[in-house]
Amino acid sequence: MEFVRILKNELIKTIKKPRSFIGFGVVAFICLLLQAAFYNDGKEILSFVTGQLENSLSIEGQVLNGNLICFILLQTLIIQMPLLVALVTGDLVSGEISNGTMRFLLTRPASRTKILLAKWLAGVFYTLLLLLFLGVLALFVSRAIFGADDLIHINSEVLTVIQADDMNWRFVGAFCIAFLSLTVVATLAHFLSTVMDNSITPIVSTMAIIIIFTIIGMFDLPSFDVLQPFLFTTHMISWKDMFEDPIPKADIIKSCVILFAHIILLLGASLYIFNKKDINS
Amino acid sequence: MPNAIEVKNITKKFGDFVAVNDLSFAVPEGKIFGFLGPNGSGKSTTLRMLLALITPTNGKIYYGDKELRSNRKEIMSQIGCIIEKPDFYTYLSAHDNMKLFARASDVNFTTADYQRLYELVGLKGRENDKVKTYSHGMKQRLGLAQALLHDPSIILLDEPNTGLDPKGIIELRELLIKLNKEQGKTILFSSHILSEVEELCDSLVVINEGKAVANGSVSELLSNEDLLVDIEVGNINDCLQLLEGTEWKQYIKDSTEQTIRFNLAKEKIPLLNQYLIDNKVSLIASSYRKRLEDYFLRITQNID
Repeated sequence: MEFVRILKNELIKTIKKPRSFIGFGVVAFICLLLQAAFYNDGKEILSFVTGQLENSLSIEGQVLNGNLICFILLQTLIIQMPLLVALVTGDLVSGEISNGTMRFLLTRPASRTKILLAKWLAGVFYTLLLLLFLGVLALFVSRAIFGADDLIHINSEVLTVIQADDMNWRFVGAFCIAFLSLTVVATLAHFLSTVMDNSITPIVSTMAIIIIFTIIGMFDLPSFDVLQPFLFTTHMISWKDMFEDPIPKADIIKSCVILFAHIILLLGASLYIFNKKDINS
Repeated sequence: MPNAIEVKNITKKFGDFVAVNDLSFAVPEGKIFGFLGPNGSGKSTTLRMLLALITPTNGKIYYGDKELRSNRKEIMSQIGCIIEKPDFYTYLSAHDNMKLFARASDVNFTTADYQRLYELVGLKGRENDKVKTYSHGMKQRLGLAQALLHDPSIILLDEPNTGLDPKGIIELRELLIKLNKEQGKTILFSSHILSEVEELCDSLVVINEGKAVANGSVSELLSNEDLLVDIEVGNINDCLQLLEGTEWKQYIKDSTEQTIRFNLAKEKIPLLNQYLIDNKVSLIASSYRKRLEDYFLRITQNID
């Protein structure tokens, strides 16, 4: 019961904190902006792409549909979502240390382990809410505007067509993997927030790590090849595998295991450091 | 009398810097205990160690017969505190902040309970305002409310009257006396207003450079202390001439253009005043500094 009460406190604080709304605002803005842009210019852009294909195959139905728009919107995950998640989760511990409220929290009976776990769960809950918000706007609003039809996309230079009836469970799977990926980002920001005593540095550091790891992952160099399979950024885009045909299940499972291992490792390190930490501010 | 808090040989090092050095003292149960020290003396570090915010490098802290680290949860449920400045979630109202602290302390308060607490600390009617609109004094009052929320038996207050107006300081003093006398709460009280400490505390410890330089009951520590008495007169030279050759001469510490400073026992002040008046000296004012102030300065700065 004690943990539930502390978790409730952390959820209330996270939800009521003004910066928590920035993420929802940015997601809504990007989704609505892209939807409006595709509504105006989408057919023109797509006819340019499909025009090249029509020499070799015949395309019937609505290529520009809600499923395609959602798929495109999800591509923004790699750019904006980690920053929005880190903005809140990177502040969870260090923010309270720098503004002094951590002193009051830690002079209550609850253990540091429970307080830190509650903060982490609040961060994960925020990540889930943000992703669900993106899901509702990207999928349901897009389908309401553009209708639902088969998804045609080019992945690894292969044209893939996925039936409209086959889309819902693939999107659910893709969102689950995306949630796991963003939970790694949330846990990394939470870890850095535990190590550092001001609220900006953990957010910037999280993004710096993601950028560095992404750059390492981009180059096909022998010395990077050793690292790439173990970097979480390599596996953050494995949600796209849900739209392959057939789905590479082994690759997805491997990615999920590596992402999950990152969460356990980072959370364990956070707990160790926080339990030893002197609160001097 | 059993001890509510017992600090045994605690040391805290930050790298090579020794913030607290082999410090020991005990806070008797049911007493108001003063905890004094100049800035940088290790006072805040010690208070943080008392609250398990900082781990001592060496030594142990006991609450009753229980060691702090191994009985933290049980001990913390009996402690209320204000450490440094009262910091709250400024984007929430005072009442929402209090509800957060109540949940964290496993306190099930009714609306009437909250209202009683707000009335006690002088915040009634302002509890639904966001904390970001509060003055420092109001935050201090809210800090006191959160410290008393779970009815603790031991209260640790670090500079609780900072930011309070004179009325607030008097109200706080009366509240602390009430909590101590009527409810038997042990209060550890740190303040730079030494007259307040002298008035409130039964015993005290003074630390300097991380070490205890004085420890005991206030009356015992100050019993041998003379007062610094300033006598302001119309003509200083006539007065000094009058005192020449009298028993009062030996008590003169120094003099300025208008004031003569004496080092004098309290009971001798009216006798000196009477002597001056009897000898037609135009006495403008006679005042003395609180003894604790002098005592504190002497033992922390080696001023004789």
